[in-house]
Amino acid sequence: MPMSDALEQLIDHGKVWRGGQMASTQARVIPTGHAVLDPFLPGGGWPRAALTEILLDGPGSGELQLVLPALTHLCADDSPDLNRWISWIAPPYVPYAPALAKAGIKLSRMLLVHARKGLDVMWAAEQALRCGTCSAVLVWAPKVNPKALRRLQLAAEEGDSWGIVVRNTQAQREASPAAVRLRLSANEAGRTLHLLKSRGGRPLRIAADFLTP
Amino acid sequence: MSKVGKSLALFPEDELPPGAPLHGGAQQGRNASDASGGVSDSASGYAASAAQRSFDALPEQDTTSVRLARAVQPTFAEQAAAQSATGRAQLWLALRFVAFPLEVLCRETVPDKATVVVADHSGRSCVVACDQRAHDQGVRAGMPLAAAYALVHELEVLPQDEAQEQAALERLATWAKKFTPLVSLCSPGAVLLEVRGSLALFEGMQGLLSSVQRDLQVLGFAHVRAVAPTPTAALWMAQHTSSQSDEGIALDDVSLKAQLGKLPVAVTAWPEHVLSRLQGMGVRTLRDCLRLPRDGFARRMGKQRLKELDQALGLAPDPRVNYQPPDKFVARRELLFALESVNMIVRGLDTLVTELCGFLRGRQSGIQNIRITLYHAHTTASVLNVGTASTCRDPARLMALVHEKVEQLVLPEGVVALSMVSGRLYPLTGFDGQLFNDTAHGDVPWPQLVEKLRARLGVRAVTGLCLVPEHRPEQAWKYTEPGTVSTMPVSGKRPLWLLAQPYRMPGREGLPYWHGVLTVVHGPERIESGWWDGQDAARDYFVVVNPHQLMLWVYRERRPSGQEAHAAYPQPVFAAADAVGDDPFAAARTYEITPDPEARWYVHGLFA
Repeated sequence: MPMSDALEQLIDHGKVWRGGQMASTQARVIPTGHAVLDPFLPGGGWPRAALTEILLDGPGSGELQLVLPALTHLCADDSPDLNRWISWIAPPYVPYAPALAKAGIKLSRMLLVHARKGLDVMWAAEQALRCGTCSAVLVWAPKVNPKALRRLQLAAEEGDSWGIVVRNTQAQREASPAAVRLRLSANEAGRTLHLLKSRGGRPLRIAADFLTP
Repeated sequence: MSKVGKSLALFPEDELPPGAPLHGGAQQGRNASDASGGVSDSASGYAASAAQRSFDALPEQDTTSVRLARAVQPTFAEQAAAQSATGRAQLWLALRFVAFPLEVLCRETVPDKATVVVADHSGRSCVVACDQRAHDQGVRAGMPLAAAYALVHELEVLPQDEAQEQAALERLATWAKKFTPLVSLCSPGAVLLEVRGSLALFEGMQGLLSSVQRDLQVLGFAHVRAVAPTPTAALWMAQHTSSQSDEGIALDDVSLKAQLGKLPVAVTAWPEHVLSRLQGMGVRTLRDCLRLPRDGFARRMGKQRLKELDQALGLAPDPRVNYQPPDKFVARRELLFALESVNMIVRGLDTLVTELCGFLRGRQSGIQNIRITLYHAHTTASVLNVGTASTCRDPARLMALVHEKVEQLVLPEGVVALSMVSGRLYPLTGFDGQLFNDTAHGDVPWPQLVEKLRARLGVRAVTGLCLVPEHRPEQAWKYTEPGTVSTMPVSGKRPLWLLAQPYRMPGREGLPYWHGVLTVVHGPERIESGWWDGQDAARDYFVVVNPHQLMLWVYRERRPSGQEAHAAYPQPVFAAADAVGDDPFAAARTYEITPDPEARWYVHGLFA
């Protein structure tokens, strides 16, 4: 007991930070809309003004399901970001308007950029993140080096914009400046979400059944 | 009272004869509203009394009666003070471009030799303007060319181009419309601006002058200026001014008189014989002129000269033609040397954009596109189309777009001329400034983001998205201009991603197959539409899941290939396991796909 008391005293002193507490320091988040996921993310949601990197085996395998509730939250009538835009840079397929409208996305505040060349994609993403007009920017990024991602991260901070970078799983070994980094994988048993990195949180793996529409 | 003595000096000593109101009340408040007036009738309310009296009155009377009359009438100064108190007077800003013939010919490029511009004067080539280097070596305007050659051996001689001067002066007048709706051209190389009504907007005379100065620096014209209550006086004072330091500013009639008196008679640009006659009489300055008897002066020098003096003092009406800008901005600039570097070209275009924005401000309009043409000596011209997402006349915004466009350009060779043509003009009134900046995220307005992206990626690469009332899934949406609002109820289960083209799935044992056997989650939903426009669709849609948890939106084509709409339908490929109950979907969920090797299956969307 005296040992535990000493520990308590040390913690009360305020000079020791515990890993779990870091989560509460990051207040500016967007709720993910997935009750299962929120507790595992620092602050309880996607970090605003930062990059979230999603690694996939191929485009269109669950990234929209993952971020859609948060995007809907940004478009909600009581959201302070109501009049800001959501930019889609180089989407792999056609974002289907009826489904998005049904989900609650405001189509009149959607900007699609059909860039082909890798450099153009990154340039457009940086412009959209930096300008401050966009509340969220989704980028289906080509192969990029960490330096380009670092630029995006800085642009997101400057423009107070949530950057979502969707990349191939192969990029997992590369360093990344993103605030949250996760990977979605799937097999016969179901989908799994690997939280690879989250600023102020810790890596973990959770079943991603909540992504089934 | 109308008897005026023969020997009446025009304005003896420092007291002037009683005058009518300088300018009429009709002129009042004009700046704020009317930009379309043809003639600036600068003394429409001018009461004929004073000038009439002093002109046509008989000269038989002696001076005593005149003195009597003067004692009764208010002095000129009193009258002027009363007028300025009611703010009825006008105020004219004269801008004289001191090196106009030279600057018109070489603005972006500086020749490496001393340069003069020459024109023919009665068969002799005379210098009309020279640059600093020539000036330093003794060349002056008005000198014969041979004399200039005698002073400077290495001389670049350019012929005067009056058409281009006129065009440049008109562009300057167009630009000046941003300061006041009343702008008048004065050849050669000067413009007059009536600025009384603009002083409040530009925070006083100093604010206005520094705005003018700033713009003219960008436009690249050396100039001197003068301010006076009458246009003629302003012009004369600007004629006498040789540098910025000794510029004449007369804001009221008292200082006007003082300033005007100091000017040499040469500023009036009267004919040579008149000036020499005045010189012979020992008249050097305008003050000397004003001391002369009116009738004698009119007889010797001509009535027109007397009228001009009266106009300068505001005693006679002085109508000026208000310049009307054209409906379209067209500017072309010839360069003396071919420009290679992007920076030089951008700088050249910068002056054109400044002129364009002055033109737009004067017309209370904005543009959505401009066409810039860069001419080359040998190859066909390069054309740039710059478009903005919203109507605009902000030079900084336009310049950023122009810069983006020019940088992308691959020039085959140097640029020898630039031209800019405005597209259609759209009405655009001024913006209200905000007292407090209460926009939380309004760093860059969205149209600017759109046009910046479009400037690099092309217009079609940046779009919005909207709904279309249509049953066929591939036509229920379309790309639109960003910001288009569309609302309509959406029914049925729809995927988040749609494939641009439906993808034909390979079959396996008569069943659709996509990285594993597909399980039906939802369906079928029959969509049959479009027989009228040739894009007939007859499909049964299913929501299916493959073993990798990939949820797809697939359909089976219900018509055999090549069959027309009216042909018999094949048998349904699914069989209801149960009878359809109250909830059609409950039954639908239990459907199973019957194997059919003939069936054609397509993937149309992803629920990811």
